[in-house]
Amino acid sequence: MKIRTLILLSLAFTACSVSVPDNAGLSDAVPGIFPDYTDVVIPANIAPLNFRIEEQGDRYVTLLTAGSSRVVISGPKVIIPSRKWEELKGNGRIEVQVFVRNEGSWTQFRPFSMEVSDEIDPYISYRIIPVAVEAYEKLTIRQRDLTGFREKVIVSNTMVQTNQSGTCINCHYYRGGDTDNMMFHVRQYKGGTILVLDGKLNKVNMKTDSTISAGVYPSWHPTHDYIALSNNKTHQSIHSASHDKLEVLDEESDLILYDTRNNTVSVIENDVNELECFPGWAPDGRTLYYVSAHYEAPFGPQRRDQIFRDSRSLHFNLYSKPFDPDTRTWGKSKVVYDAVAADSSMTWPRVSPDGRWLLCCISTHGVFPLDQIASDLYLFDLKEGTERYAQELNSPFAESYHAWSTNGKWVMFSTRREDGIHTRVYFSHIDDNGQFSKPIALPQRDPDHSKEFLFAYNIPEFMTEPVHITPRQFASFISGTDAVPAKYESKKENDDE
Amino acid sequence: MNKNTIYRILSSLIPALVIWIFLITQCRDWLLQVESRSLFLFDWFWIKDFGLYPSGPLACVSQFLAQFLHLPWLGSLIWVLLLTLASEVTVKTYGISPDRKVLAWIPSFILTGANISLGYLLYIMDTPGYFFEPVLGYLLIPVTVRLSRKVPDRFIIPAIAAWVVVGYWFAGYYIFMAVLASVIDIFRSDRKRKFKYAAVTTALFVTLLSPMIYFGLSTYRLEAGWTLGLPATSYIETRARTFLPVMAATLIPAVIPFLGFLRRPARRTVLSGTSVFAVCIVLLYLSWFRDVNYNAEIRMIQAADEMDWKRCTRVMQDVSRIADRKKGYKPTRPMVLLNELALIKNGQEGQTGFAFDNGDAPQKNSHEIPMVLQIGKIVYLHYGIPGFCHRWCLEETTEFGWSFSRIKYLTMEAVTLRDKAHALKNIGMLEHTLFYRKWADEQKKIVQDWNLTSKTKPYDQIMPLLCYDDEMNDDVNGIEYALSSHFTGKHPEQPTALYDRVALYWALKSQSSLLFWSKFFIYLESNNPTKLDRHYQEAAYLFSHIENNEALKALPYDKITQDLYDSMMQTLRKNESKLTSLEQARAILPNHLRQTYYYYYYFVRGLETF
Repeated sequence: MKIRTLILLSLAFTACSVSVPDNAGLSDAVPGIFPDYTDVVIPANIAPLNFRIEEQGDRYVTLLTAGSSRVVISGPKVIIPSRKWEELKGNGRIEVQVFVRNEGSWTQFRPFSMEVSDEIDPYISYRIIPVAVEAYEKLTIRQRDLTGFREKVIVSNTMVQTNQSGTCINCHYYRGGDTDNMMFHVRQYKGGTILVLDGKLNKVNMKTDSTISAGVYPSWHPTHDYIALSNNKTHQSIHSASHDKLEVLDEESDLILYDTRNNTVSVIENDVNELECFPGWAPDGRTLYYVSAHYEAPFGPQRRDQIFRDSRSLHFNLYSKPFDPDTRTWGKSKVVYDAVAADSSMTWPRVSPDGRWLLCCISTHGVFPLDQIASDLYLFDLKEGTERYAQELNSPFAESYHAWSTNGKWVMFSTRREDGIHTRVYFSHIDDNGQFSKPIALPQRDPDHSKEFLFAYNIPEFMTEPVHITPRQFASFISGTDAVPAKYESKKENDDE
Repeated sequence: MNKNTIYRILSSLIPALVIWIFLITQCRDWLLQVESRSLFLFDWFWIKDFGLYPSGPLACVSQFLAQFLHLPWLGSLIWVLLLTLASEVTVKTYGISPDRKVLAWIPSFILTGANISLGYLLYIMDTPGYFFEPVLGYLLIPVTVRLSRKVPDRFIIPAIAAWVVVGYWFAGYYIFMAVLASVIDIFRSDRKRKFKYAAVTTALFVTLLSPMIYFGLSTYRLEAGWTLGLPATSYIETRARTFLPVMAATLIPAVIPFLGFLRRPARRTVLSGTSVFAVCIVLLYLSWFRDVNYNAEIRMIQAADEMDWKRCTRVMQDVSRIADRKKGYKPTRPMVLLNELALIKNGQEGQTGFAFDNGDAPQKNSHEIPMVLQIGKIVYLHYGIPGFCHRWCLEETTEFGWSFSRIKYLTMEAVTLRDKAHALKNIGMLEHTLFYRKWADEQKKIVQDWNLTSKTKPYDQIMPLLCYDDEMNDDVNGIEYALSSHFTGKHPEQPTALYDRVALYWALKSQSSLLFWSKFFIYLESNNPTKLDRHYQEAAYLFSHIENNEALKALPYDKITQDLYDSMMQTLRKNESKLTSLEQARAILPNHLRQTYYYYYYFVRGLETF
């Protein structure tokens, strides 16, 4: 009986096996697929790039070939088996041919390729957030294995907050991708900055009497035990009728340096007429890049409304500031990019691991590119002192938060190109000349994921390994531990530099 | 067929019919609002997420059923059929005497009462399947008891363990009640004593363990694990109000085995049955949230959702008639705001905008629910502030989940901004629905040809209001403050006639002569009315007299405008000595004077908006 069943099943399987049509008419066009993975460069260790064929038809066949490996998949959803995918990638260049049958006749679309290139960090993490302004109950920080589709929660709001006391977790960051040295902030209920130092959990309150807020946007020093952070008094305002929905501005902002070993905070920049933000270390740890806008308005209850009225005239320049990590001494800041002169505004400067490139967002105004359609990525060549619009990466929608892989071969950035509202994660390869490859979307097991998923990806960061602390450990630590106040130390400045 | 047989049949049919008729006659708009706040997409990607948390599958089935409330007669018919099934299964399971069948309807009446008594909590329920979930959960209880009776002694332990683990994933809280009822049933059965104790121990152990297993796998707080599946809101602390009625209904099967009389024939079948039934009907009626303003709000919101602006105003008129009879009656701010919006859409605001009752009656609710959660997205969309509509759709979604209504408003907001990508995203979701597919197709046509917005409802009346430059604002001080500053603030450089009309109305509402005159002359120029609407005449007449502006006093006012003003002044002067407060002055004015802008200007003060 069992043998008979097996035979029947085998017959049924054989009957359903897919063959490539041999009588198809040729089309010059590449097929429409989602996500668009046509003619792309892909990391050697990336998960299968599953996609959906978006051409009208009643039958679909996709042939993937690389060297002697060959996979044939039937149906509009092309879900590539993991083992076959590894085989295909092993041959270096995957060619994809799509056949579509419509009204009885087959069309073979122009083949497209997937060029296998350098490896990428195996893990990333991001916040998954609802795209609301105030409500954020269902917010999580998650980690994703890029070599497969496994996604796990690192920490979730729902595990900490109560009905009456809301919590917000944000700004997760890793020291050089190392998850044993990581941080994120917890705001409001049970608030504090969660610092993992050599795998040990700590909770710190970085707000001191001499600084305007707790730490916000971080950048961990590459060689020493410091974290540069911005201090921000942030507000939000709603656009009444614009494709940009939200404007986020700081009424005040400064920069601080947090010493992780001694639990001390010192000021980096706190000019009352400057809005300093987004610190980013050069890889040698001897220069800190940051952005700042000059803004003068009386302090008091009206300042907040005033700054929103003036938002269009807020232009953030790029500055660099020398730093001696051994003596913790700062030099004088100098302008690297004069955004005011260019009538634009720069944010999120992040330098490549080799120190050659600086990738940033440039928009028309303001400090929060995520919600500005005009925000695009620009690449600065720090060696040559040139800059360019990263056309390969940009779309008509907002491009914003970005990160460099630890080997410097890949950039990851967030973009709203798919529907204008929900931020998604894309990757691109950068060559030695600073040319980016066509961006690829974060692969998903189900290619429809991105269309259907109603949350946004926020702050994508690379990791070299998964976070080992469990969500429950984080939650119970957050709930059960009071934040230790950081001590304030005065700033050391070297006027000669 | 004897009298008792007829009674037995009727005791099943009549309660079902009564509840059904009650729901479709009294609760039509309310049912539609329940449906609009739920969502079911025929999309595996969306459905499979229900499998990720305990009680998710039950919520999925419940949301599937809730979509049929789109046709209130059908949705409520499904509801009463489920109630009938629940009562029949209870009768069969516990061997309740057919003469006492009507008693098995008590849980059904409680569950119906639990739903219809939610009142203002409707706006903040964050379990979108809450309407059907309790009855489906209840059904599991007698079914579990029946199944457990069929399990041989030696399998009873693994059966209970497996049922709790799987059942908890499927139905959350309800499986605890099902196991409780089963264990009691097992204990009272003829099984051997050792199996009885084993069953109790296993049930207790697995019941404690299940939430912990799921707790370990999920990101929920453990204490939430015991109540997953019950109707809930996390917006305010109201657990008792949403949980208790359902808990009471689901405890009944555990009590029935101890009520031996239920299995014995009744001596006075018809009389006792009828009295129980009558008590249930009375309780049902009492549990209906009958607050006049609440029901008016629901009807007006539903009318606004359907863009039936005439009906919206009619509801307000109906309530005004009640107000004539009922001293001290005041409408709520959402009612006033929706009525004004409806009048603007009907072009009647200048003629009757101030003729309606104005007021700030508090919500009949222990916690005040912000007006913006009731009508924010409606008002902002139709007043041409799509950015705020977008914001509140998403805030609501984050707090209370996706819903048909929120996706609809997001679509309309995106269309008004010609935001194709965003509109198509939302249309794509509605294409996966049963009842909104056609609407989504219509919207898709508009997205493909933006010119259609000038010919299609509601865009034909929204687009002319979008003649201003985008501005940044917030509504932390409430909707009315935001609308007032929008329309009475900086005037657009190229306004439309409709915008000028609305701006003038809001200038009148501000009770500021300066704002009135500035908007009035712009209005006259763009609208060029052949005859000035009544309230605009009243405002011009009033302000010209206050400012003693001879030129403006000499405008060609209708005689009635002047007469009403004189009449009000005379009445006040005549009673001058007796009047010590605004309240007294209001009271002496006859109705026809209370329906003027004069009255609004002098006597409508300090309304609390939120």
